[in-house]
Amino acid sequence: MDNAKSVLTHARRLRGQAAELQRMEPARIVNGLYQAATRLSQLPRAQAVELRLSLQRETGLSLEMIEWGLDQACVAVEPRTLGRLLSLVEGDALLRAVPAQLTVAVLASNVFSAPLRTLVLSLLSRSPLLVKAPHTGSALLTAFIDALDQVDEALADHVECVVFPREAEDALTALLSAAEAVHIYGDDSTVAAVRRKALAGARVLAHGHGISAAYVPRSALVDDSALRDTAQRLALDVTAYDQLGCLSPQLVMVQGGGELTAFDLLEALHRALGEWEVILPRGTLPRAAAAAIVQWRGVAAARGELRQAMTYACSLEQGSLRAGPGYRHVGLYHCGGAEGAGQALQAFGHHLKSIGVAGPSSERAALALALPPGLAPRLCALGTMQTPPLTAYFDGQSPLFGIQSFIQID
Amino acid sequence: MADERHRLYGQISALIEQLADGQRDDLARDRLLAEVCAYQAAQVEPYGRLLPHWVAPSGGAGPAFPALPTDVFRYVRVASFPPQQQVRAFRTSGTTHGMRGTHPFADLSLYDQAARTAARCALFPDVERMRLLLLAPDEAQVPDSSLSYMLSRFLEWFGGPGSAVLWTDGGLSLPRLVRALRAAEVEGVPVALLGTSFAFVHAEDGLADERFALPAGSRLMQTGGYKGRSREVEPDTLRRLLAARYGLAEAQVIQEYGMTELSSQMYSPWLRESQLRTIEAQSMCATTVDGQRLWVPGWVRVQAVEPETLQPLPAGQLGLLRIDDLANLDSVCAIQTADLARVEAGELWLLGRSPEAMPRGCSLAVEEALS
Repeated sequence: MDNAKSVLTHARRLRGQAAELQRMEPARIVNGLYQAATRLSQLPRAQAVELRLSLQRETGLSLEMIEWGLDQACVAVEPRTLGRLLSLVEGDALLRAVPAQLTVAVLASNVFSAPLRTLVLSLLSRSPLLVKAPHTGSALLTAFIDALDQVDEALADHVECVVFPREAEDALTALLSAAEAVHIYGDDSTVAAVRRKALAGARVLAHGHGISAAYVPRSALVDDSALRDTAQRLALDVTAYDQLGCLSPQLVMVQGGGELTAFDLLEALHRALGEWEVILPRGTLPRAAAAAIVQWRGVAAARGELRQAMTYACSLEQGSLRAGPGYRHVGLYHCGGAEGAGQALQAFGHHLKSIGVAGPSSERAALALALPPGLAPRLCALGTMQTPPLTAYFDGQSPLFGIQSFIQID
Repeated sequence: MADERHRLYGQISALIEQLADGQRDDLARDRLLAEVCAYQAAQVEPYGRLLPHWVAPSGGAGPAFPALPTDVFRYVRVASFPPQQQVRAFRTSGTTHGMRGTHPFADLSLYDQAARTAARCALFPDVERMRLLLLAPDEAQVPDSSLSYMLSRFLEWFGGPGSAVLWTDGGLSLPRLVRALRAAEVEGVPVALLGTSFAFVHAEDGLADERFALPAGSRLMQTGGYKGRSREVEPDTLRRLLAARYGLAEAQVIQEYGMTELSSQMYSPWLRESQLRTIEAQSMCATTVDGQRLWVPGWVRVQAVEPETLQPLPAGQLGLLRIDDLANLDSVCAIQTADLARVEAGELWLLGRSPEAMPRGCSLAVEEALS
């Protein structure tokens, strides 16, 4: 456990070494990150088991889900994606990129693979990174840093991970004392606390808590094959990470008037959730969550159609939208198309993180045009909600927001 | 169906009357519950829709009918009668997280009978009437509050000279409370202080060093959660504070447990037990880490159920609280709460909401957006 003094020492050391990182060749950084990800996916058996058990203790997810999450996280850190990010990072002759002398990330604990994104983006931008891990731990981040240390010790020297209690205000002050860029993941109170203590000139990007939704236009329900594909994709997005992350769809807006109906989708989704349950079993269920699930299922049965099994359920409901309890419980609601979906979701405002859209990419473009003001979710293909690329925008911002600023040369 | 309702009403009322002295007849209760649930499954559409999803315990070991989760009252109308027959509707307290639940009534006579009988048994076992001081609004101030309705009825049924409502203009009048208590001290007249937990906490915060020595026979009833209206105080701590403040024995500080979705109430047992001289009440009134002990009227069945299967748990095991309340004739008698509890020898040990972190930040944000 760190204290204010140790945190301050790390912050000053990282910032003091920023110039060294900025002199590193981009290709070396790309190679280091890729090799670390590869090493992580090929750990010796004992370390691999320990990592998985640690993640299970941190998250309560099943081992199968952890394996899936690890695969997705490591696969994302590959040369082509890193190269694309690099082209964003480099700027051009008239726009010279200036990395932050120190980036600080304050992490939440919902999704264990999320920290890698911040680490990769910071190092690629050549900004040293100081991470405050959640109190539950961050086994994946620690393991990645260790792997990076083994492939390129000098590169790994520009990342540090600290842990301290939420109430340790002095440690938080130390954490932010030298940060030019701050990425915050957490609830509103965490975001507020960090904003208050960030330096006046620091660039702060807050990824507060929120939810995601799915939109199924009628073009995705034209026949049984399309129905099954839509249901499978939606079920995967619901199943991943037991629906506990901000990118997990809690609601599904279904356009009517197609060959197949929202009711058909409900039945297909129920089957698909069952199929995914076999491949990716649900993890442990806290008692409070079980209590919330009882309530959710009751309302679903009382005012709509409920399809349920022990470890998942879906509903088709009339009336006002309502939040789900997570743990693979999702409600379907009728809507009148892209505009209707946008209007229904408008109440979520900045809390709406992403919308998974079924059907062809033109449907995503149509939805983007139809969204009312105030909404800036990421729009992606259904089935990919939980595996955003490293280049993805969130909360309406570039992934590099704050980590870089630019000198414009007129 | 009117005949069937009339028949069931008569049986429920007779059973409440029969059990007025705190006796139990669980067989009669359970037989009647099964009949009422069957009637309600046909008459209350949301409840009927729950039936296909219910798996009754094997071997008749538990209820044959499901319990309706309390959240349903927030989203659909739960009643066996049409809206034009409604005489009253109680609503859950407003919170920042979502809509209020509504419990409609076409007839409050069973509610009155249940409330009066239980309160006579557990709160006023030793007196016909006494001076009541209400630290809560009466029904004129908050007509859709079941607590305010109940307390207003208490004034009628149990209130003696000098009874008063000390809640005015949306808040507790501390000066009036102090005057009333000093008068009781001087006159030697016992009082019953009845109010919400947050009102008593406000009083604690406002009364500073004031202390009272209420006459023998006085008592205090506190109920309800804090709902963000005051700081929260652990039940044992609050009981000790209140006992010390008002000069009462801890066994004279009674917890009441009721819900908008129910018609009946449960109480700490010590007043009743000391009246019956069955135990030394003082020694038994402390709550344990397993929760607050509550006496359950004989026409109410309480069970701790397993959270995922909703099947009844063996006696003493912790689970989600299911309450079957016969007095809920015109809505649904089988109610599934989100509270944790265990049941042993007919007594309820209430733990309250699960101490695990819930709701998630996402849920809070979403609920605020939707409300």
